[in-house]
Amino acid sequence: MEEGFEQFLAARSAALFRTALLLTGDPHAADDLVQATFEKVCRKWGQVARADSPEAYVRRILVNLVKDGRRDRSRHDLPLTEELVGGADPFRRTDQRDELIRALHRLPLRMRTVLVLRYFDDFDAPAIAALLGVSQATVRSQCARGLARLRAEVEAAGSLTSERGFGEA
Amino acid sequence: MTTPGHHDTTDRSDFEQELADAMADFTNRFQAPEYLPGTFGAKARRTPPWLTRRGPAWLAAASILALSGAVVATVGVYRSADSSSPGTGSPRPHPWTGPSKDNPGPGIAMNAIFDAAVRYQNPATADQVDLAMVRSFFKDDAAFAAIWGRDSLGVTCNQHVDGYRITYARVDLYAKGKHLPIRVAVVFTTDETRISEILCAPDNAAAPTG
Repeated sequence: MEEGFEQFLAARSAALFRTALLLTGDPHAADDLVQATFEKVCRKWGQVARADSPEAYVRRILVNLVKDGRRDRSRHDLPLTEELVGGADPFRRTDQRDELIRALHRLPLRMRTVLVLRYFDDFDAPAIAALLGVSQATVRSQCARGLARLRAEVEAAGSLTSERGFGEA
Repeated sequence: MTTPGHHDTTDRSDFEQELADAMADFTNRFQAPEYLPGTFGAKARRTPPWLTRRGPAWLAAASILALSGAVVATVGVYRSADSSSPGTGSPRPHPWTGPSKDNPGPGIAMNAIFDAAVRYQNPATADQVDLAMVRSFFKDDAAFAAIWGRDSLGVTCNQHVDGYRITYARVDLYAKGKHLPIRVAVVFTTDETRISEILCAPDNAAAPTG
């Protein structure tokens, strides 16, 4: 086993799984995706370890695997609900977030990827641009359009209330 | 304060924050599989930990009970890898990052509690249920008494059930192989460590699935 791979695997696999989960919408697909990613990483660990950011390198592999379509499973009818934390109407709260996640998975892959990297992994535009191999302007455009589409979809579904007074992005 | 490559999250709109929260909540519903070095090229270990007899007691309670043919829960079957990690690209902090003795996590807790209720309602398996362990999944004695009570029926919306299925965090209840048209919402404490309430409502949209 290449030195460092085991530590990287232990440190980052859970975080990568969560990102994969958001990209695929399915825990088993996410598991497969992370497996495939680490298989590639294991084979070229020396190259990964020498990269400026091994983390970014590995995430690029993961995103490319999704993009290749070999691991992406479209999920247009996710049976999402979730347990609830607080709120006067927990069922409504569940529906709101369910609809957001469903709408996220209806977005085109690149748009979805930008939003996941931005709002889940907290990457900034330059980092996302470098990871995806696109310009920062493209990232910002995809992000703005993705948010607009999400907002339109969930509002059309009537699932977002005005209780939080959602402002413009 | 931000780190290079990461953006400042303090200037998000409410909608952006809701999206971020929804993503975090969604991923918190699942436990990351354990990826073991040396297993690539073959699948990492998928053996449920309760079969290995190495997991803590609450994992045994989270075992999946397949009754009435096709009732299989899909969450809580993996042990979590360590998710507290250094380096770049760390995810946003989550209120729950993996099971521990004191904090089994919502997926495990849901499986455990519905599994226990199904067993408890079956006279043939009722004595398998460790009520002290069941109690540990609830917020306090009052919540345990109010929800579980003497017969566990509060967990299953006052219905005698012989099976359940948890898909993501959706709970489906079954009796005699029939899907019950009930929406179940499990309310956790704000730190998502314990069950504080179980809400039930008719699911008018649910068609019997047999």
